[in-house]
Amino acid sequence: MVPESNSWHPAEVGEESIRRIGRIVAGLGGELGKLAAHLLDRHGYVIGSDGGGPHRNVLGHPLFELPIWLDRATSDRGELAGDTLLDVCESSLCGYLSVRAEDDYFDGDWDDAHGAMMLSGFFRARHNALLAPLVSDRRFWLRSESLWRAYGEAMLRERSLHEADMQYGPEEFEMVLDRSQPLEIPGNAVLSMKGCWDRTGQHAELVRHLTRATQLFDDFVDAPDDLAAGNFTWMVRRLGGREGGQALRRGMIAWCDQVGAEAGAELDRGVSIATTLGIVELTEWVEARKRVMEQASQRMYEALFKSLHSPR
Amino acid sequence: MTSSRSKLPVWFDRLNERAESMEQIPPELIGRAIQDPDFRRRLLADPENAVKDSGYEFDQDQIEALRELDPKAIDEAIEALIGDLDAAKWG
Repeated sequence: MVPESNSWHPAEVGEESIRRIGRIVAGLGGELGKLAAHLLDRHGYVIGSDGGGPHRNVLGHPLFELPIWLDRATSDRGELAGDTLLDVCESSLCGYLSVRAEDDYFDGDWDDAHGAMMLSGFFRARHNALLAPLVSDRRFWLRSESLWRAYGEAMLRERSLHEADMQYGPEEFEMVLDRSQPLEIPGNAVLSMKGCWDRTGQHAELVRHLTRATQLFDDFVDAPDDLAAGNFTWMVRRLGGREGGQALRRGMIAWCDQVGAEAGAELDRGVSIATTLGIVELTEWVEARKRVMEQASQRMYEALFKSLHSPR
Repeated sequence: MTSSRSKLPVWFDRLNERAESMEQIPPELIGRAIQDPDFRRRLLADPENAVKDSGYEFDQDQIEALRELDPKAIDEAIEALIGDLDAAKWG
């Protein structure tokens, strides 16, 4: 099914992209096919024969949304054809899956180094192959190369930053964020095709704010597991994790509101830039994420104070 | 004759005393700590003054109970946070 125009909802385009990836993976066969199917299943990118799924992380990155929003925001230059937009969205998913394969291995969630390398290579190749016929602007490809180089550097350096005796503060956190910046690439492709390359700087800033918000909150929630694994992230240090697990948990109680406020401020900065770019949909997207974060925080404090108040 | 309570470790008695102190904390103050982030921040950072500013008078045990949060309560709270997010994240 190919969308007729960009009036489609991102979730529908996302589902169609996932179906396309599902068909490609089903046709892969061999070892790579099994590994790819496992990766898709592990991250909820599967639509069952009963129509169930996909199960996307509601705090995840706007993989499909950004290209669609940018296409709409530049509608004065015409609209991309439905199959073009779908290729861009599928490319976005392939780029993300290539990162997931490597990140799962780096994080210790997947112990198959060879599988991670080969699978990531396949998805990265498809990510590029889908964009190659669409974008001829050399600036786009140089920017993409630069983003993937920074991604690789961040992935490698993050390992050593986790050591307890290494300096890991706000500057290092910014460098580590380069792991997520390839999220720019599909949106850059849309801007290039629409003749709006001059807007890519603001788009890069927008992606930075959104990924910073996500990373702050993810690192907060992951802090107990990170400490247990010996990963002294900036957040683990901020929460007092160098003093041990109990100190870190006390730090989470003391800092939850503050971290939520920091993530919220980043999302608000994203909305401000999106408005300049002509993207109106981000406000609702941001509000949904803020609600999830606030409700989780609220649940934590409710449990704390109710538990303290209840007889044991 | 020694009471069975006195055979328990000292920390157990202290925990019980602390829990009893928390039970005496007015429920409306607990409710406000849940609902009002600014008050909660002050209560966790400086319980003595936050309580005083709210017009309550707490004894030292009650203040200590707020200052030295029960580790089990903290663990339960963090589990609630993670459980809530897992449910929300994956629908």
